[in-house]
Amino acid sequence: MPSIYDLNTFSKKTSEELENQIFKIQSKNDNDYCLIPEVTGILQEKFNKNWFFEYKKKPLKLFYVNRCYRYETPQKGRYREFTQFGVEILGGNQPELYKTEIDNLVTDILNLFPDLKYNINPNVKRGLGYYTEEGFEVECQNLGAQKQIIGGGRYKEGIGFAIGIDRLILALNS
Amino acid sequence: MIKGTRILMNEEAKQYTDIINKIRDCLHQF
Repeated sequence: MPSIYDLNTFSKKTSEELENQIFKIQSKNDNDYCLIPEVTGILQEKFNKNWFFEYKKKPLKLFYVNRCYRYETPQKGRYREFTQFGVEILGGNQPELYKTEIDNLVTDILNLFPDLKYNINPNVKRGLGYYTEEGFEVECQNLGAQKQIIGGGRYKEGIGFAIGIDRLILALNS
Repeated sequence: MIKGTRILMNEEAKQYTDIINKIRDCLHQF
């Protein structure tokens, strides 16, 4: 995914908290730009604009590995530039099946790391504006304040989650 | 460099790519 976007790409669909964390870029003209703070919102927009039309299979299953940027106060597990590994299921007409697939995939991924100590919170209100119901989070207590390593949930176009790779590595090494 | 950014090199960079590859391999059954 590109790193640079028009500022208004994100400001409408994200939470106030995330909007305050968007890494803005001063441009030489009147356009306001920013660095990508998260990927799911972009994929929703592309899906709604039929950008994936050549993929006939439904639902559309995607994964991404992307650098994201947020203007936050740096601390342990909170970087201004970080990597998200995300998975999304977009479209289709079997939302319950997709939820099960996502849950199973998260379990498979967590099982890759037998030494990782974590808790799964299956019902949590998430910070981003596009979620249509409570989502889920995976937390590692040994990370301290920034303990969430996976977060996801259902939104209008589908369901998905993202893994914070930097935090996962911190949790594995601590 | 600004605060909150890092250079990953050697063992840390290897771990980073290994973990991403491992997770990606999980997607084959997805």
